[in-house]
Amino acid sequence: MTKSLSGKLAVVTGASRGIGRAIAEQLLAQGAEVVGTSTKAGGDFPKGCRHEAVRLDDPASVASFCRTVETLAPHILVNNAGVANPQTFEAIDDAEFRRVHEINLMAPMAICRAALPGMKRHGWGRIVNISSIWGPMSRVARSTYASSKAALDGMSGCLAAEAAPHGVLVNCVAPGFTETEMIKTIFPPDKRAALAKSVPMKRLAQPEEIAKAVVWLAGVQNGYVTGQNILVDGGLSRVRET
Amino acid sequence: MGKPLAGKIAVVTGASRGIGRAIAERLVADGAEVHGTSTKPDGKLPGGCTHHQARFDDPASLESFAGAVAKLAPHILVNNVGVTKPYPFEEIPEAHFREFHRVNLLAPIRLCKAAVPGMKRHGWGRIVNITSIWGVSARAGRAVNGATKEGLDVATASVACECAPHGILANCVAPNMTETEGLTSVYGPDKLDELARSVPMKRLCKPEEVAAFVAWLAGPENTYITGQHLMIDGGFSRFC
Repeated sequence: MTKSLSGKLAVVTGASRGIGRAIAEQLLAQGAEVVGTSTKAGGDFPKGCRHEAVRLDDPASVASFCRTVETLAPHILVNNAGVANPQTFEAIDDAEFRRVHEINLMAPMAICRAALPGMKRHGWGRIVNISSIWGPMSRVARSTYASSKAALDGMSGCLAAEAAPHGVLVNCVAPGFTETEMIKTIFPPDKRAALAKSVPMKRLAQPEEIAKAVVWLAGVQNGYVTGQNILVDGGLSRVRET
Repeated sequence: MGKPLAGKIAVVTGASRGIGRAIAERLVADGAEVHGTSTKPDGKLPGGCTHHQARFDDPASLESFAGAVAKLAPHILVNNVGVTKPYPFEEIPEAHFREFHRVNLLAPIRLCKAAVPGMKRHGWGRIVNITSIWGVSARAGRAVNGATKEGLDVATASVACECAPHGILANCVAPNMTETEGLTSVYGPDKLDELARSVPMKRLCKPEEVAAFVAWLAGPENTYITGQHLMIDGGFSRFC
């Protein structure tokens, strides 16, 4: 069987764990060559995944990685790495706000900018930026994270308009509550059980379920979906229980 | 290519042409047993589809087909049929107002109601209702069409919330102007060019592209997207 992404090169940030790891695994399974990043050199990556150490909160490290991306000229780019650090509005720490925006917004912007010329040369490209339900949706103490993710969606929509004539499709995927280390650091187990009950599907997402949507959007079957922020949230964003 | 829908029964309304035909073809190719409707007694459906005659502007015909759907107990339901005709707001004929609501809103909801009990028994179901960019964006002359499509989205989201615990996912897909006979028979080449230029991708949508998206959402790969209104529009809805 010919694999649908044979001959395609993909870059996935934050590919050593969670959603990014699942995305890298599925891209590899579809036949793509995958370059993943993590903050530490020699991180634990899926089998067959090339890797680069990049610190997305460090502009010099991002600039260096962008030069690598320009040379790689990937067909597929998934900006997955992100950080969340809930802080109530009056307690927002300026340095932390900047750090979150550096990682969640500035770095994806720079990496998209580095990848676009190659995709234009190929006449084919797929960018999927991982946003969040905390953009379309709100919750207390999410202003730092939500503003970075909403901005990522706004940026992606504009990039989609510019890139579309070149065969480059750009979308965001907004995961709902997903069983990752990130959510485990924010919510204790009893709170996670309550979160699951609040979702119409009555369970949290597994990273693999988010990855499947990302990989479809990044693949050859997607010919016309662009400029969208697609919520993979088990119905959470549409339901209001009393 | 694999057959991800082998063993699944699918119902697609309006399967004789345009987007519905492409969806039916794609579901057949993916291995599903596909039942399609058309308004004609001898509707020409894609190879491998079982034909059912149904007129969704006729309550008796709708009720009869809803009975057939309940018996079939499909795993997948794609409500694709829709009518559209732009009218200046003050000139909307009452008869069209009622027809649009019957075909675009009441019929899909009725068929969902007929299909859900079987999906609950299967513990697995996928509903995809085809709306329109005019259910999200607005343009002069689209009041009734837009209202029915937006209404269908909200109804679908409610079904999604209610049925999620049973493994049933329900979404709407909103295509942009798509290269169907319906469109190319109405507009000349110059107008079609102008429409294509108004889209960031600089071309209209192809029925096969909508079908690929619908088939993915209706298939086993989608396990957590539900209650959404998903645009397939080449960037049109976000661009001005």
